[in-house]
Amino acid sequence: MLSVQGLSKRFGAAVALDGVDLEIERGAFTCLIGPSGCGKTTCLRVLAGLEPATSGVVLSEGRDITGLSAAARGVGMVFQSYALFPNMTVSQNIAFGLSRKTSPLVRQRRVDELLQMVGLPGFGARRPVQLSGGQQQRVAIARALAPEPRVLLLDEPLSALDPQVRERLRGELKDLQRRLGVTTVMVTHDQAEALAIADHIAVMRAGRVEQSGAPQDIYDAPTSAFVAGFVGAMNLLPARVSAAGVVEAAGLGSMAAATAGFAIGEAVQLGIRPEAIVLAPPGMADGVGARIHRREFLGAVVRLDVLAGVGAVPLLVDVPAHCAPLSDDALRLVLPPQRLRLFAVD
Amino acid sequence: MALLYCACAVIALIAPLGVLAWRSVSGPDGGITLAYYGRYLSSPSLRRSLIDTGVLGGLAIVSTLPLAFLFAYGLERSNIRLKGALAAIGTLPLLAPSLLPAMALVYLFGRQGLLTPWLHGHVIYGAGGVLLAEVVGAFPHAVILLRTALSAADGRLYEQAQMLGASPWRIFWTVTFPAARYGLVSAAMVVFTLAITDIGAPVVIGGDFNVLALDVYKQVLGQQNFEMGAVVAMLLLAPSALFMGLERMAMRRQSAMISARSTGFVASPSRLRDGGLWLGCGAIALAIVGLLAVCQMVALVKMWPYDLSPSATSYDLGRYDGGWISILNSVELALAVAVVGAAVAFAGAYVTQRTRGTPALRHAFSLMALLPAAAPGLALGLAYALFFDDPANPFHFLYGGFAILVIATVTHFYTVAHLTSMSALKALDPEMEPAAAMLGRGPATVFWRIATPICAPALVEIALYLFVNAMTTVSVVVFLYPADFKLASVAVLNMDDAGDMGPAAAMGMLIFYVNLAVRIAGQWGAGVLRRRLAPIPQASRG
Ligand SMILES: Nc1ncnc2c1ncn2[C@@H]1O[C@H](COP(=O)(O)OP(=O)(O)O)[C@@H](O)[C@H]1O
Ligand SMILES: [Mg+2]
Repeated sequence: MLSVQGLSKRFGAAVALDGVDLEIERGAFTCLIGPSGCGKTTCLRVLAGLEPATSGVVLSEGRDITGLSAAARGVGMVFQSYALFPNMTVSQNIAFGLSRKTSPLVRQRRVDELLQMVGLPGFGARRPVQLSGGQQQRVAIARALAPEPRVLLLDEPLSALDPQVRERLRGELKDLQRRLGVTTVMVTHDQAEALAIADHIAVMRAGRVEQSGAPQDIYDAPTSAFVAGFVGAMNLLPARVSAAGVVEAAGLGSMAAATAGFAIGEAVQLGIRPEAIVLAPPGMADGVGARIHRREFLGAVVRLDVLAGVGAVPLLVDVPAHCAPLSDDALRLVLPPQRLRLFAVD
Repeated sequence: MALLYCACAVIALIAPLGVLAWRSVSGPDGGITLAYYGRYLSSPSLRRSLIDTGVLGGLAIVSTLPLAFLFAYGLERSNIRLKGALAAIGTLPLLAPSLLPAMALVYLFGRQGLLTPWLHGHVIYGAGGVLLAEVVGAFPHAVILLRTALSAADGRLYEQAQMLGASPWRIFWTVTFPAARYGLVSAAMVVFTLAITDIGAPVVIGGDFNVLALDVYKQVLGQQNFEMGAVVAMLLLAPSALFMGLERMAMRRQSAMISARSTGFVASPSRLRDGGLWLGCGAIALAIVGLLAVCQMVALVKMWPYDLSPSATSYDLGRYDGGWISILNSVELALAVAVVGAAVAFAGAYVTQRTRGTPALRHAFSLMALLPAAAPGLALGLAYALFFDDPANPFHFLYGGFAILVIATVTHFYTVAHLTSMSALKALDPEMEPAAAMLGRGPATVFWRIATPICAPALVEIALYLFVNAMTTVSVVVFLYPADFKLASVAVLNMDDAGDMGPAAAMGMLIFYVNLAVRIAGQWGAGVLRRRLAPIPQASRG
């Protein structure tokens, strides 16, 4: 329903957005992720109408809304700092955006309804300073939803919270969004958060959308080394295509991999997720030799930091805690060909 | 909006000062000439006052800073008793016209002073008297700046120094003093500027001792020589501008020294240190109260110092030109200055800091808003007289009216009002305006419904500052007030000049009491507003 085409934004000489294309589906929860400074906030502000675009268009249901003001777009926004009005009560904050033409009674009813919806009934008379961070965030959401926007934009709404609260609230946020069915775009720099709650993810890098799609697709089939490294953990090794279906990884030797799309002799990056690497059963001669350099107990899994092959190439290997090797003796690793991915060198 | 503010700044500040500069170099034939400067510098008596003014400023720094540092140190870095009372007394001179301390000194050590016999044939008139009076007047300003510098102590540095076994004396010179150095520089600049631009003390107690400010006053009011007046005003303006520029730089360094991770400083108990500081601060406070008490006594006795029986004749102010009406006039002016000034400065700061259009104009205005601090009141007053007196000026109609007094006074004290507004607004989340815009409300709504209520306590403080200064100032208004609108501070000067000691003291103290009452009421009001912004008490939590 919301579509962005070729959006660019320059601040003087600095390029914040460099041709962003984005499709935001109706009723979906979309996450914009990317490293700090890649233009996520700017993109959201241009969508909101707070910042004029240098070039490009924003379409809503096919209608060009690039020139419309923030208020005219039917878009609500939750800011990183929440930007609650400290001199007003929670009720006054939520009622701030309601039309002045509606009667006080109707307004009060709407405020109560919103407080109920975000799980803060009876908090209307408090001031923002009297609320916890999570409660403030919910007030900010209620305030943004008050004028019944068609799209809700959230800029790192969870980043100011403690890690435990953050995990609980992201679940609540997702529930609320699903219940209301409001189209939502959330910015975050935390890829795990995005994977957990988004229906659709757009990964940004240096003012562009590098890849977008469902969380599972992004995780399983990243199209670039950048996305692969940013979303989840990924071992990235320098390698060369030595023949069709065969790559030569520096320090590890030759192995089978899908090389379609790469020329023979081309330098590539070879990627494999830590959990995709398999420990060969003892006594087998398969795979590459390795020794454990360090191990990290993460609860359900143990992350092994190993040095593999003749070149002592550092690799991360995740194994379920109950099958972790007991000693740091030499072991053999299998890199399943179907789990190997090749990326162009950038 | 930014354009409107820039236009006002040009009319109220830049153009008048430009005319002042122009008049100081324009010859009778319309060409540019430095003849007036030449004439000034070749006159030995005038050249003498140029040198004396510099010496006065320097001596004022050397005498004020140690006292102010002691006082500020006692308030910020010790456990002495009655800190609140001492701090309040330390600021009392701000509430009285700068003439008052000088008058008190005359009552004590002048030709007919109560304590003059102690001086063994000397009298206080002259350089020494002016210096003493300037020290009293500048003292509160220096204390305020030094307290800010000393209160920004980083407790961690002291703990570190103590763990390394440094002696208290060593800690003072290696930690305390360097941390306060920018505060000292900025206090020195302010003291110098105040001392050289003041007109009250030299008139009252100067005797034959001449300073630049007095020259401007005499050239303009005595000899109606506006060109020479303009020359002297320019000579006065140059060092003030320079020193206030240095002061701003020192201030900026000072605020950069407080790191976000500084921890508070808690003074360790020390009887010797606290005893000494208590004596010093107590003596200073006593001197200030004593000077004010002397003025009040002079106003209440029959014939100081010969007949000390009580009498109310001094309060028969109706007999004098201006009289009681001038107090009402001053209050009227001060109220107008406080309300107009606070509103204009706050709105101006909002436009410069929080709106997004016309960046060049907003930047220009924020620079112009710093200029008034650099222009001495006399120079500004004279500039106004020259600029608005010209019948060809479209704003000539303002001349000789109430409005021009308000405009001149607001302009003269604008910088502090502007900077206070700016720092109050800086505490506001920068995303307030975008958040409101998303809800269909523009910056005007944010200004009225959010920024103004939140900054209300600061607004009250700005209004207080403007009121008190408008009540006491002589220099800005002395060339501008109309004959039918006498002002109390000027009346004090004129009565004292005419030798009417009792009434002058009575009037001076009246100004002081009005200011005191307004300040107490204002601070109470600011406190109430601040509490209103505090969290609403909750009967039941959860
Ligand atoms: N108002 C602005 N003026 C100048 N540069 C800006 C402004 N806002 C953002 N930028 C620049 O644009 C780039 C993207 O910023 P932003 O969108 O805030 O990144 P993110 O939210 O992904 O961390 C950054 O390099 C930032 O410095
Ligand atoms: Mg951001």
